Amino acid sequence: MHEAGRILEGAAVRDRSSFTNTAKIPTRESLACRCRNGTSLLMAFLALQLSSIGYYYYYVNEKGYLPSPFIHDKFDTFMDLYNTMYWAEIEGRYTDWGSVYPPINFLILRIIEWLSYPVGLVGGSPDIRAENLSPALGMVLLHLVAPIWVVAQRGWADFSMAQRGLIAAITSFSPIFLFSAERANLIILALFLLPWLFSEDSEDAHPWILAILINLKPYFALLLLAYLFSGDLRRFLQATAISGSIFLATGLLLDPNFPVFIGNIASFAGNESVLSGRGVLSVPASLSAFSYAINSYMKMSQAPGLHESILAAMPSLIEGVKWITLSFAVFALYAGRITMKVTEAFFLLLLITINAGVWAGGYSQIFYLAAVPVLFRTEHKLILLSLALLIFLPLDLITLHVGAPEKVASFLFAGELPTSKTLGVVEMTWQLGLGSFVRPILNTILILVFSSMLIFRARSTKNREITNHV
Amino acid sequence: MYKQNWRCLLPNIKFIILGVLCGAVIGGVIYTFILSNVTAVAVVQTGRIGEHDAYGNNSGVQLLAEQVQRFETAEAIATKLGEPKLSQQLAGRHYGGEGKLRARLITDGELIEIRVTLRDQDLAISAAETAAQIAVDQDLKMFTNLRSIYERRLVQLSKESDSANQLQLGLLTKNTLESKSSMADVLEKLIKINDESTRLMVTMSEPNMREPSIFSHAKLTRPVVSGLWSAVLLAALAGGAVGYALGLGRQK
Repeated sequence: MHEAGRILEGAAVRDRSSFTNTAKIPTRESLACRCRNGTSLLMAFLALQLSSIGYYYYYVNEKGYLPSPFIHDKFDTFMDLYNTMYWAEIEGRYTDWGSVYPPINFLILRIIEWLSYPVGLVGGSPDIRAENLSPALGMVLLHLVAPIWVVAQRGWADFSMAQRGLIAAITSFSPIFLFSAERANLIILALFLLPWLFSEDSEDAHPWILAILINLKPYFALLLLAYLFSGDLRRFLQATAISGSIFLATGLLLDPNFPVFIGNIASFAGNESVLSGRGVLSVPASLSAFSYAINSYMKMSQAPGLHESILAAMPSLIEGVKWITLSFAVFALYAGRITMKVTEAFFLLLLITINAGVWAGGYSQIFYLAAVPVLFRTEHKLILLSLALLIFLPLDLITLHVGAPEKVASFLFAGELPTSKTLGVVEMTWQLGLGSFVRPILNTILILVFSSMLIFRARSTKNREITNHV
Repeated sequence: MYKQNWRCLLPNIKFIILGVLCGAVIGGVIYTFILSNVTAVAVVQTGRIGEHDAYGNNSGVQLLAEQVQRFETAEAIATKLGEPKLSQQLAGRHYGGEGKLRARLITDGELIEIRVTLRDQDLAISAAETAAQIAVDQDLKMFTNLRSIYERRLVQLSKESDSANQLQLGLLTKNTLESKSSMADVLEKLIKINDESTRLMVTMSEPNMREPSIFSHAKLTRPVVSGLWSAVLLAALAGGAVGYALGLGRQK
């Protein structure tokens, strides 16, 4: 084992550094031609994104609310920010509200609150939204800045400046980013750190970055496994220790009840009453969104014979497919551990996290942007990048199903975007777009292709080295 | 299979000791300035008649919660407890105070939670209890006004019913075609009066009518991390963990 291990490890080191060198060295002309083709394609995609923006703008002006894939509750615009900011000031965030946000989020929100509301918060969360929209507009601005920050990193040197700019614009105007901006969720802060996690230049900083990410969004803890699979126990322990100490320090600063957070997060993952069926179908990433929506529908429906129909069996079937896919990915992490870069392990574990359930939220797909340099340096970059790009396209413009009209309160009604503070009632029809149906499937294919690539790479390296050795 | 020698994973004791010491000091500072405050909580049940709160609509409870946080209320508490500094401490930040008293709606506006956070636990309990009593008194005034309107209407309906009954008796003795037509009008009026009286009486009886009261008297909360030693211990643990991570980072 030790001999074979040394051989494979030596091969791995060579392989890790030579993936981009195995192909025939392209000439300057062919590179320029490829670059031009890529830029033209990106410009076409940007035109598509801009047309979708135009459509959303027209829709809001015409009907007073944002269409699908934006969240079903039209009164709830920006409320991920304001609900959480309200509890940043009020005690009982962990005991009464049962928050699953780690303490650092509330400390960041307190700073935003001190800057935006110098005399303190008055009333409930809808009141503080009505009083001051600048924190939400700041979050929207961060959604525009974050992609620029990501593509400006050194890891993107393979792309021309024009291509980087186009990719940043395409992602900024994608339904995933727009959805996240409409929620004004703090998730965007993680995107400012992720490029360093996916960079091969800053491996010593990885444990610190991962520790902060875990404290922003606890599901990043699954990425710690990347160190175990790649055999880097030292960085695993470092990241665990740092994230634990950040949690303790920020918890002590924020709230003496912060240990209750651990119980809250344990119950959140298994709580099926937190989200609505239509809510999880907004920009779903996981196949679980389908099973969740079907289960929600079955619970509410009174249709006779429904529980004996094929629909009743679908959730189990969908969950089965999902778990087989995730198990395959875990197997790939194990099988490919020798030839796999740690950044690749991070990406696959991120995919597993986002696809394991609906609790990560569809807007977690914004993180794929930071992983583009990782995908670009793989053998199957064309397939992987195409899949990632498809996820960001406005697929939801194609409507598959339209619900019955209903009167709902809409925050954006009044036609005074983006400073509207008034609230009106609109007649809203819920739509199920193509994106809601296709994105979980694309995510599943992405996991399967990436996992297969890791397995085949490990197998081919092993075969080649054994042949050479013999 | 692991790249590192297991010995590299052993902690660097110097870094850990330094981390623990720094953490313990920081824990002590955090306890002194943040965690040594105690919070007393009292809950007020707002008055309600039928669908309306004591202010005659459904948003008055928010108004009541705001009134509790005003400077005037804080001054009243300070005067009652003989602690002048409380008026500045308790008033809401948006009313020029330090916001040590907070009132918020819970359970969909049926109850108002009053939280007072101070260093002195007896003072915190007294302040929360006094604030709750002031809220109840304030709500009771409005509640009494609303109830008297309902009661006056009931008395008025009773009088109208008596006069309609008198009229009915008079019409019964006449027994003409004209009187029969008037009788139908009187009966219709009596039915309306009866319906409204019944509705008002149902509205003004339990559980539709509820007088404002203190739902839960002021008590101290029991946070998970409450003592000096638990704060110092947790902070020392955090410091030790950072020291361990830094120590590992320097291992060759």
